[in-house]
Amino acid sequence: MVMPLDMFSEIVTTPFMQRAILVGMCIGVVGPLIGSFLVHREMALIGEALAHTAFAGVAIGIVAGTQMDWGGSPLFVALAVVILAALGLQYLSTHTDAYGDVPLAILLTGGFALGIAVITWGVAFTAQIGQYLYGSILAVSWTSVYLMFALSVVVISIVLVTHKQLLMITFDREVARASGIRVAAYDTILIVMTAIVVVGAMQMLGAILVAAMLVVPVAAAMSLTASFYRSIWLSIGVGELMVLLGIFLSYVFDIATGAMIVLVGIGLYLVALAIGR
Amino acid sequence: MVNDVILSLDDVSFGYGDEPVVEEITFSVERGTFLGLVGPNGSGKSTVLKLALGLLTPEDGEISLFGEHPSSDDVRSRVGYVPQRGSEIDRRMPITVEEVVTLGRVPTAGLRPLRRNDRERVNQALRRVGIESLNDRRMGSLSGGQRQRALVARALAADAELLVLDEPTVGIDANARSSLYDLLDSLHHDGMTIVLIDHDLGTLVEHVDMIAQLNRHLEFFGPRDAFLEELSVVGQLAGGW
Repeated sequence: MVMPLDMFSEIVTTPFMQRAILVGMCIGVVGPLIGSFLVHREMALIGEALAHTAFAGVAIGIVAGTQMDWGGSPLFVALAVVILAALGLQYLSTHTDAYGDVPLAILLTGGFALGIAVITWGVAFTAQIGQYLYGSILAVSWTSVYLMFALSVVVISIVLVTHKQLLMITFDREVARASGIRVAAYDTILIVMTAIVVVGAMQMLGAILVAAMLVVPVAAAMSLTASFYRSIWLSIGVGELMVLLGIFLSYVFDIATGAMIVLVGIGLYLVALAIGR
Repeated sequence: MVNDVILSLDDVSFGYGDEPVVEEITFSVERGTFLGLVGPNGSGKSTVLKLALGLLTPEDGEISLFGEHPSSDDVRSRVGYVPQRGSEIDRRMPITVEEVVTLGRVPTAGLRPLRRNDRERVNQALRRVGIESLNDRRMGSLSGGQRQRALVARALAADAELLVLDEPTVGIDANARSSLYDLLDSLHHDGMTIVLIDHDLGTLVEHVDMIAQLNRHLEFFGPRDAFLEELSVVGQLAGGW
């Protein structure tokens, strides 16, 4: 019988698991960090909408790779497409009279539709596309690790500089405007950071599950503390636990990693709810 | 007291589409004034405040705040604003009283980290409104009156010279209302300029020294005593203000 310690040793010495753990640990920090500002603005579903658009970007990247011999990672195309979509979403939200979730629903369905259209036009549904849809640790290359690490450094640096303004807008948008805070500019910064995190995390978690890293750790942390900043630290702790425990259990039970991470996260959320009551 | 003008509106009009909300409003607020903005529902009181704060742009007329355009960055950090739905903040959001009051330092601090001086101003503001013992409490767990004090403390932490409050007594009990007015009186006594909207006209006129009465147009502007003399306040109250 394989003991948990042996299994742990096996996991941390296997190269593809090492890459998955490194990427996962980055996601465990930046997902809840950005999610803390999104959830309290009631924008929890924005990650889901952007992830579906990222799927369209990945599809374009894969088709470009197969039909035009482009050798770059589809994630780079996804990053460009998602940032454009994020800016488009903000434009729709501020320049139309639609309810707040209508542009989200349009982006979510439109992004996914575009992805499917591009794939069915350019290539057949391949295993590679499935990896981006459902997530796969086998797909995590060293390029993905470096990309995720670089994106995480960018996101953390921006939050370190702008967290006061982001919190002020999150808590009271009108007072922030009255105080001279450039609300639209900070909204753009937040939505672009969200796009970056979504693209960075989708290879491991998949387009369908990636939003969970923005929402579940934050939801777990918010019932455990009275402080916004302590809730960020707690949510990062929950995020790391989600990722590491999820990867470990997915290896042990041979279950899809993205799904296991989300299920572990929901378990932690329920525990946090019970403790917070 | 130096009688310099902090806020002036000159022939200001504003509407949504073809629907005028306020028309030809002209008045000014001198430093150290405690001004009450009164009028029935829909008379344009909140709109006038938002115009004065640069949150809305007038269709006609000129507005000057500290001698500059209200949307100028230089003047916005000199105004402390407690909005109408201040007592209806999201109770689910984890944020402590101290974190809320610290937000008052954000316009001054900009992107730099907060310094010891900023922390001191926050602590002074908490003490000034009498809620220093609540500093680590979740904002959503406070009573309505305590929340309003915290929002006033946020404005004080910003070193505001003009305090603007839009119906701060909505949703709070009589004791908390009385206590909040005592705080505003005390701040006014210390030289703070205050502009206040409150539906409770009877209480408001006991505390302010100037009144602006709106009903789309400015119907009265002047000292409180002249307002009481000109209008039968008792009659107005019986009329259901």
